Amino acid sequence: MKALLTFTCILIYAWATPSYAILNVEITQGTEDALPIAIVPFYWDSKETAPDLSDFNVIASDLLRSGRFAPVPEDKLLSRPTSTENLDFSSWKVAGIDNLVIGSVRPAGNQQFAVKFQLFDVFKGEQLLGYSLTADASSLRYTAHHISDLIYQQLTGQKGAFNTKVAYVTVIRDKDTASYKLEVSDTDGFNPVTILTSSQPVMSPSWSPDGSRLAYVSFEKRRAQIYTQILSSGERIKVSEFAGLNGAPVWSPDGKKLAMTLSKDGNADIYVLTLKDKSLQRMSKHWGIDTEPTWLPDSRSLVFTSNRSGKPQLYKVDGPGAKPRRLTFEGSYNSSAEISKDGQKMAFVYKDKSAFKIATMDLETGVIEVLTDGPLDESPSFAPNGSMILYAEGQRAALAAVSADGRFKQRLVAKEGEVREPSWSPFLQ
Amino acid sequence: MKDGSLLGIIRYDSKAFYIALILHLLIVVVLVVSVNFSERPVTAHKEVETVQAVVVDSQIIQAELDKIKKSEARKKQKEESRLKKLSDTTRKEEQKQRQAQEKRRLEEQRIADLKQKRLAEEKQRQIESQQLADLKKKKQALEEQRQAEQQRLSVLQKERQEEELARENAKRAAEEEKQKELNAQALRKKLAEEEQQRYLNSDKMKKLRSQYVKSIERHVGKNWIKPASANKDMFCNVIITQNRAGTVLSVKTDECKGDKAFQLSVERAVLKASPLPDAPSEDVFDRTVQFTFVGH
Repeated sequence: MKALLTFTCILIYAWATPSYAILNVEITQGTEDALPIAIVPFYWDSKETAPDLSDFNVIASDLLRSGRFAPVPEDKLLSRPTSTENLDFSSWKVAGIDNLVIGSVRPAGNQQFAVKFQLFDVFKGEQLLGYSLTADASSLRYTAHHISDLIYQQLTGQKGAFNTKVAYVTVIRDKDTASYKLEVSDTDGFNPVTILTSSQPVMSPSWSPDGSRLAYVSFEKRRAQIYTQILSSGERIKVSEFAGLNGAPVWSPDGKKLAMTLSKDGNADIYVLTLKDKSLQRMSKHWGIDTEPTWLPDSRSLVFTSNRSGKPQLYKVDGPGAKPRRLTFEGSYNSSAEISKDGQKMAFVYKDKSAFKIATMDLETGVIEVLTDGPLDESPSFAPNGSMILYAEGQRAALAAVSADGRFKQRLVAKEGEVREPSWSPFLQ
Repeated sequence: MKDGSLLGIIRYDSKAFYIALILHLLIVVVLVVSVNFSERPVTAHKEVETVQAVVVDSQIIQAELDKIKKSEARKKQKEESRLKKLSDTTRKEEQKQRQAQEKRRLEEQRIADLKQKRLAEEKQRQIESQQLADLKKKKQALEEQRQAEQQRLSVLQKERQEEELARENAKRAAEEEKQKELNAQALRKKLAEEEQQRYLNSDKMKKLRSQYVKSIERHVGKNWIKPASANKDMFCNVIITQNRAGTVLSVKTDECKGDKAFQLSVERAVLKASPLPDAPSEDVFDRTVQFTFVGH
């Protein structure tokens, strides 16, 4: 019996470890290369006079800007298939193009257009996405951004943020006078809308978490005041006009509070204003200058800039009365922090030697990654999906974007004058 | 008694003669006395008087006669009474005797009955005893029969068991034989496999295989563009088949813990990597390759 058992065991063992064991290959070192994608220009599927379809070019530029895609330049496209009938994947395969997008636009009556697009996996020869969307002439660009979002989400697993907005301040100087404007545009800089114009400085725009309002600092009364303004109606409320500094308002993720810098008690410290009852809580108390607060996702902890150690560094405070803890030790100057929505990363201005650059810090590991080259980069702001950072670049103060991995940088549409303090909106409905 | 004469008798038997004489005399005496025994003095007197009787008047005779008559009557009465009495006594005695006799008879009857009964009982008992004995005998016979049957059955059963055992033994032996053969086969197979394994495990083969796997890993890794969503908790097992030229013929995602973008990326990676690097030796080539993609 025992012998029988032993033999059975041997048999099982022999079965379990066949000599023809399949090869096992573990792949951990994939690339983070941009994904090759061919976006065939959308064609006008009608005998009527074609409208301007250039708005659909933003799909390629959106995807390119994210740093995660490598769209094939239009003049390098192998062919321009318009439907599944004339699709030949093999040539795209040979060219190493992973994905293919085709689309068409046709009139749908009532000044409307039917926009159809399909995303294909070239190597599997499968359709991954297929949509038919309705748009009018004014929303074609919006529709194109929306398509970018759908493709982005399908292929990266992250929600796309191409249909969001950015708020910023432009300054136009003319000899002795200056004109300040608070503007909101698409994240590629298109479609700017002026929210506020003033001959006095306007600063620090911050989005409410639902994207319906902005908080900002205005010196229109020749002193610092903090306002909140409803974007759709322009209606605004003055929420803070303490003596001295009233600066750097930031909406809490839960939308109930504004963190800000006040100097009413002597020097600049961090305070939290509860919007409902106007109650104020002091978050820092130090002879040094504490400013530029930013919230963590818990709507309770804050990170702020302080020069209490002699030079500006970033500190974290876990609530009213808690002792601030220093976060940055690398570099002589670290300021202007913003935390990603998932709370994993902090973007900030990092100075090494002589240049001010945009960097991120992994809040779990403390690892810092420098994303830009400077020399005068400032005011980083995360996309709501954390994939990109908008910032004000260089001496010219232009609006620029960098992918969160630093792989792709792009200066956005040139604006007249200086562009300061960009603030990326949350996801919009 | 030769002559039969009285003298001859006397001579022959004098004693008997004298006894007979005396007896006769006695009878005469008794007869005389008995007439007057109650008036013995009178008798004596009378004898005296008898001589005188001749001289006595009739009256006296009469009186004497009456007196005799009376005495005789009395005697007679007495006798009668006596007789009667005797009769009564006899009767009583007889009755008593009869009764006793009856009683005895009854007793005897009873005893006889009892005897009879006892006899009957005895007989019955004997019958019963006989019956019992018969029954016992019968029972014993049955018991013996039963035992015999049982014995027969037990023998039969034993025989059957033995047969079965023999059959089982034969079967087991056959099975063991078969198992042995199987084991031997398995052993041969195992030895062959071990031989193959030894060959495959030889340093040279190990090195070759490792190089082959590495080249596949590098090649596929180059073609794998990780999606932004990839994280260290994601992994995907993809099983592919290839031909000898390395052309990927089929791709099957096995276990996959990751989002759609992750799965798409790994499937695309192996397809894009086709053809896979050439195997440096036939022995390290395998038609089936399992890839494990880890999100990191």
